[in-house]
Amino acid sequence: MSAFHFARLYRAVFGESPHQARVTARIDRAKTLLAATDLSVTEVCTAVGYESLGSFSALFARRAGCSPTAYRQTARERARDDANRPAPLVVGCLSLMARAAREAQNRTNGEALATAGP
Amino acid sequence: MRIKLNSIFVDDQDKAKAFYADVLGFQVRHDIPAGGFRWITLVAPDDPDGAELVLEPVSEDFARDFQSALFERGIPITAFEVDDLRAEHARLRDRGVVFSMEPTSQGPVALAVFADTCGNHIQLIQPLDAS
Repeated sequence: MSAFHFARLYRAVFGESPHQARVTARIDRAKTLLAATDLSVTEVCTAVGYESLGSFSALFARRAGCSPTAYRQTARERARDDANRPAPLVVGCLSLMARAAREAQNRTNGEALATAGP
Repeated sequence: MRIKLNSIFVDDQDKAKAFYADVLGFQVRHDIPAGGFRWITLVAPDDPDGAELVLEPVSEDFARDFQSALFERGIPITAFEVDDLRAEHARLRDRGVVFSMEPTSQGPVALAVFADTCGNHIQLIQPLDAS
């Protein structure tokens, strides 16, 4: 199968090109690293496979809607907020359940695509 | 097992809290931060330990789709029961509430429908005595 044919087939099945899927997986991994670790943005950039911090930051902003730094800030606030949330009082929150389901799905998708290799 | 929560989607939590509390007259039961938005619930003033209305933010695509699908079709997302529909209708209209259906008798109930300024139609129901 030619590379061109593969890419077309991939896109037909998954709704995006292999290249786009790879970028999505890298950005998702970057999001996880930004939220869960203290790696610098430069270190995150390198860890997910980009050499140019400028290009990575621009790409991240395009995909995530904010800069890597801003994303980290929001993720940290949200994590703090969730930790402080009195658990019994927000059981039944559709929005939190929806977000948890979406994030779990993203993690699963990100892992599947990431383990497929760069 | 008791029925405790009635969750509706609102496109603006601040605006919704003001409308449901200040205009409709419900009492805020909870308003706490939750994952970037808030957990806001209200109760009827004469039943503070009873069922709670939950004002969920439209934070996911499916919520937006669901809410706008109902609204476009004129379908109320929920209904509140009142003892005197005509009085309630007059009170709310004086406070600027816009009704899409004026009080109407339909068999065993009288109904009216208004907009909640946050993306929903809301129905008011008054049970009519069987005569």
